[in-house]
Amino acid sequence: MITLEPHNIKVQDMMTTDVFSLKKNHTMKQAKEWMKAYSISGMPVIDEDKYLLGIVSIADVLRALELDSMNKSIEDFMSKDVAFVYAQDKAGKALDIFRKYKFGRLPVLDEDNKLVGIMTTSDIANRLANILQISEITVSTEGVQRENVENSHNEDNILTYEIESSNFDKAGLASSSLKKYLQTQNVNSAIIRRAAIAAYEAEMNIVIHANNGKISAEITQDRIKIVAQDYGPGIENINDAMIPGFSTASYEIRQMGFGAGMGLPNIKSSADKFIIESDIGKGTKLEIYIYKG
Amino acid sequence: MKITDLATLLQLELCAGSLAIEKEVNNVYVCDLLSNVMSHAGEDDIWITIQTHQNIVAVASLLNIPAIIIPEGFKPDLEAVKKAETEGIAIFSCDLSAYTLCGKLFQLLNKTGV
Repeated sequence: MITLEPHNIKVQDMMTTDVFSLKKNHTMKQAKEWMKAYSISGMPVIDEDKYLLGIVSIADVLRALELDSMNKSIEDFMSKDVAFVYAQDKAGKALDIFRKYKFGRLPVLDEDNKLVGIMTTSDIANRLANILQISEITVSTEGVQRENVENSHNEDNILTYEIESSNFDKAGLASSSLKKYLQTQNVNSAIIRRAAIAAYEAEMNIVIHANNGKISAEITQDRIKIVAQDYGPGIENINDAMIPGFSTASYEIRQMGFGAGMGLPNIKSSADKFIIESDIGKGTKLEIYIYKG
Repeated sequence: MKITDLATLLQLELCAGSLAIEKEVNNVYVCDLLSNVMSHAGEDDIWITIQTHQNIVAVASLLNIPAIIIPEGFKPDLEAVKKAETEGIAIFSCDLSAYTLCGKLFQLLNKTGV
């Protein structure tokens, strides 16, 4: 670890880059649901090019609730006059703003004024613990990257999660996060269960076998589409991999209860439609469709 | 039956998730292979497993399993405890073997037949 002199620490050394942001035409109801699902108290609002437009906080949600305007767009309620810092700013500047204004979070912009991160008071606490060399900091549950990509249809949502290979500590976070989101969307519980099982198995396959990957879930009125893409070694024989009990996992992994050879069969039985493509040496792509009706 | 009542009758040691113990359960699933649990355990089941790492909490949470019992004196890992507290899932440890534990649960939950 590189030791930094406290006065040389920059905002980029302390910020969280996994920012959860909204677009201005999302509704206040959606903002509320995301905040509830992820226990966050405020989110930056950005445009297609990641320019910061404002910030929505719990206070704005309460105001919308009082006015019975939860279906109105975020644009009507967000704070537009937002304090921010640049990634290259010294951390002291952010501390100063936190101290003066008691904000819970500060959006962080790059030199082109695009959103690249967020700095919260807990980031400061974590960093301070690092500097003071306090070990055993609780693993952040914010480890999963969340991104809400704008779609042509306002109700359609795509969630994207980066999956790290061999990281059994974070394994399951993406599928848990997807499940919690689906619960906020009034999806039938049997459908949520199928989506959770499929996403979990796809996530574990990447953790166990691949060299990192990505899971995305696209939720529309009538279906959930989960895509798992990894950059792993590829599957030698897909027919073998589909046989229940067939596994290439190591003894250590099996001892932990993983690698039972039920992953792909479980995905298949949870899905209405399941497409698997694999290239040796390149990676594997799964497309899983679950229809809501 | 309430989880807390089962815990008292079986002398289970609560390791995490005290908020979950008022929930009702009426069935049990036993397995150490996580994929099998994913495909076969039911919602609101109690799950008995010898696995102690934090991924058991992820599996329980995905399936709405309110309580996990770890038999034969094993204890959950610290990370599993922390995660169970966050997710509101109870983890118990007990000295009984999985077999004896299942036998007692079978009786307590009034299961019949064989």
